[in-house]
Amino acid sequence: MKKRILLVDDEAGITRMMRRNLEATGRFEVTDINNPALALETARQFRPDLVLLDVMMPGMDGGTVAAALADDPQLGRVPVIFLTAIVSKKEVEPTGSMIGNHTFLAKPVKLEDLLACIDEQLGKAR
Amino acid sequence: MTSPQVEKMLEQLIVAAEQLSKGRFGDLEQLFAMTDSGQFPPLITRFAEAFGMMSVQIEAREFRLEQMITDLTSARDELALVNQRLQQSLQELQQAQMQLIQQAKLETVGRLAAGVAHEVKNPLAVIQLGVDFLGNELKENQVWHETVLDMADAVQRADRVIKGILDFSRSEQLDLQETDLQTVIDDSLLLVRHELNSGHVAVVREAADALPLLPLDRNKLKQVFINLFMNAIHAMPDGGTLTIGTALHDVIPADLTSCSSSQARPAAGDRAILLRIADTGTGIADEASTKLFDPFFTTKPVGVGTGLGLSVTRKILELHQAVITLGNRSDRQGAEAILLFTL
Repeated sequence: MKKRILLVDDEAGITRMMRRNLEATGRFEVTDINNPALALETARQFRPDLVLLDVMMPGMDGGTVAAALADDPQLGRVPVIFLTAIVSKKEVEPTGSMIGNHTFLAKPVKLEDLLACIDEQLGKAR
Repeated sequence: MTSPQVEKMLEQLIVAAEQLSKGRFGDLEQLFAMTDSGQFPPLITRFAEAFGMMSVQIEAREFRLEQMITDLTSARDELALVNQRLQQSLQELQQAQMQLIQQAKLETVGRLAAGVAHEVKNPLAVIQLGVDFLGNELKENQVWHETVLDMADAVQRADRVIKGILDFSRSEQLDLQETDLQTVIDDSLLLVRHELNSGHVAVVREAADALPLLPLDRNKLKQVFINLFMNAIHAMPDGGTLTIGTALHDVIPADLTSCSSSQARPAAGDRAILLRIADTGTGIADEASTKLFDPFFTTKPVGVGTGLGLSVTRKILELHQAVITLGNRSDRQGAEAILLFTL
């Protein structure tokens, strides 16, 4: 059974490329959304196994979206991987770094690093 | 016809007038003695008296004039002094203003770097993921696959450059980690690779084998090396050779005589890693040699140098218990920087 992944990023180019790559593995069913304000509603309908979430988005940042997901009784346990173009003081490792309780991947992320991170998070959530 | 006395009187008057015309106030006593004698016609006597008075008044006026000139001269000197002080204040003010502008510029560059990094990383992410996708699709065709791999490399290189710019613009506390100095040199060279290539500067490495690790702040030290490499490149406008050598070294007093710092370490007798960065450029002019580490001192054109590179460099090295000596090479072929890192 394919795992469902929700992509939330205001850049359509990024969601499109990620979707193509993830779907090409044959292992994932992917939905993407470029408007963060609609992320929660989309997630309620799509019921993802994992969410890939951009940090800096106009209107609503990734942190707010993640908090809304965490508060939802159906979605609260869904793992979230943050994608960030902001380089924080603590450098983000290629295969993801934990900052607080969240996993961060730094853009530009290589597909193999992205897949490794997704597999790790899905493995944990199992 | 005139009497001999009158002639004598007129003679006296002529001599006095000639003296007066030359600014000499001659002896008028003889003239006055003659007028007092009552031997002359009243008209001649009055003329001689009037001449005498005129002479006295001119002398008095001349004296007052001289006094005024003296007063004016001293007032002028005082004014010149005040003016000089004003000029100095103005210069200091301008310098302070320049420093403020430079600081503001640096802050702006930092903010700009962070902003640019964010804006560039998103398109890079699209390209990276696109390249990954095509790479998987085009695996069967070797040439296509290699092309895609070259593109992926280019994305990673661009990403490294952006990270480098961010490292450069950040001002953090020292983050010391056991580090191999050679790898920091390698990373820094990568960041100036474009300048090396476009400036036709060849790099010669004279690296010692297996140097011990040092507690270093990688990012801060990269900033130091980039500064020194860029200075070397700018000193070789027609190209040249940048030699980077490392060696284990026992510090001797002569190493520390002309170095940048008076701090305790390294001291003579310490074991250190010596890093030499030498160029084949124009060398350091005598008049510049004492000011190299002054903040905002630069010999580069406006827009090329901020004059902060070496002062920041020295500060960072001091934080690492390291020192730097800058000077001309003993073979007079260019300049060199000698850095000593205490072990």
